[in-house]
This record gives sequence, C-alpha cells and structure tokens, in this order.
Amino acid sequence: MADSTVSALGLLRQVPYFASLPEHVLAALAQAVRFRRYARGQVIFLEREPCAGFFIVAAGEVKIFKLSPQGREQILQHLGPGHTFNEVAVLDGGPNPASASALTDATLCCIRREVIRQLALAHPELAWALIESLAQRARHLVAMVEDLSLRSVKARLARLLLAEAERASQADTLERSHLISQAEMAARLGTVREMIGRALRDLAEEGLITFDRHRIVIADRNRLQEVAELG
Amino acid sequence: MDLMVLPEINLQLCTGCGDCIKACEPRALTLVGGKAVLAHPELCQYEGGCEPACPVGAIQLPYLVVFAKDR
Repeated sequence: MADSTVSALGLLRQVPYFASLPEHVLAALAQAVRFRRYARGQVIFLEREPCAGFFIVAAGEVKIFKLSPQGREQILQHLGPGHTFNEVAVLDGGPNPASASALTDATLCCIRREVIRQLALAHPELAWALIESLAQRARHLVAMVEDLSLRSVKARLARLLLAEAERASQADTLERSHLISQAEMAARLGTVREMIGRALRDLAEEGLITFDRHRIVIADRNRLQEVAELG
Repeated sequence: MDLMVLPEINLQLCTGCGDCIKACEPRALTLVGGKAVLAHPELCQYEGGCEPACPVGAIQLPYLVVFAKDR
C-alpha cells in the first residue's frame, strides 16, 4: 500500500462520521484521495463555480464564507483537521454553495464527486455517513440562523469572545489563527466592524472585558456568559 | 504568548490616503511609496485609532482573547 494511501486512511479515520465505516470502504475512499497544499489566504474554490469535489482538512484551518456584491464577508464556518466541507455540491451536483479559503497554510484531501457517488451507491454505510454529515451541517446552519435573527450583536459577540478565549486556553502554541480582528469578528457575526467596536466598548464600560494592548481580557466570565445567553 | 502582535496592513487595499497616519498619535505609521507602513513598530501602543480611520478597511488589529486567569 502506498504511503499516501496509508496517511489518507489515518485521516479518514479522524472524520467523526467516517469512524464507523468498514475497513474496505475506508480503503476504497483512501485510494481516491488527492492531497493538495494551500498557502495562507489562498482561495480553495469560489461559490457558484462547478462542484470542486469533497474536501477533508488534513492540516491547518479553512474558512467557508459568502461574499455580498459589495464585498462584505459572512463567515459560515471555521474548520480544522478532520472536518469536511462541500458535501452539498457533491451530493446535488450543483455549483459550490459557498467559497472556501485557507486561514493558515493548509493541506487538504479532495475526492471527486463522481468517485464519491459511485462509492456511495456501492456502500450504503458511506451514503449514511454522508447523510449524517449533511444533518450536522443543517444543525450548524439552523443554529446560525437563530443567532443572526434572534440574538443581538452584543450577545453574539459575548458568545464569540467566550469561545475564542476557550480555544486560546486549550492551544499548546499560539499562532495567528488564534487571534481575531474586529473585521473578522464582524464577518463571523453577520455585522459590520463599527457595530463590533461599539459592542466591545459597551462590554468594556460594563467591566466584563478589559483591553491590554493586543489582548481582550475576559474580566468577568460569569456576567459575560449571562450576556451571551440573554440574547 | 510570545507572538509579536502588530497591526496588519493590506497593501493591496491601501490607497495611501494617510488618514491612519493622522490617527496614530505615537507616530508608528508612515507613508512609504504611497502606502501606509508600520515603520516604527516599537512605538505602536495598540490604541486602535488607525483601524476605524482607514476608509477602505486596509488595517486590522488582531486580538488574542483570554480569560483573566490565563493572562
């Protein structure tokens, strides 16, 4: 077995909804995997282009995003190793529903739509795994709709700050991908930078956060949690 | 956290209008070849005046979000 097939097998086992697939199905998928490297900031594919295939993040981080005609960005998801994307286009054969670019230097695995289709027709376990991945995607998008439509910018920001602090506290080494600018917060939360600046000032005036040069310090975690939950 | 964190300037977006330079009280920014450049990073206080001053969103200040205990 070639080295790349061996490493592809290891990666496929990291994908949560592939974990229960039989070995022969994983092996067939591994044969079809193509590794691709992307530099930080490089576009992986654009929305509305023909289906670019099924992707798995092997290393690095990727963002999935939509752009308005005015160039305003809405980030749909940040994905790390073991996460998959572009299932929708792979399953319905339509164009990519969103764009993807590398947040850090990244290595991705790509499998062509036709290969996935043939394997899914031959192995119901794989078809079910893909349905599970779609269901997870639907859950994520429903939660995002709830956030964008029912929660204030301040509540969404409070939740994002708590999540970012949790992520930073669990990191062994801190990199640029652990930092977030106001523009990036706005793109994650479906608003504009000015609104983020205002909400950050509010939270600081209420004593929930403080600024320490490039650090946003969560001074009162419990009260920030309350703001996040109140909506 | 030993990352050197400084404002990031996207030179492709920068129009060289100089608004960020006027907004930067410590004078860490300057214009070089018609583009804003962080010429004196040691002077940057991370006051955050440059980011909203930029009319095209070419400057970003990245932040690390931490709990007080992890500071």
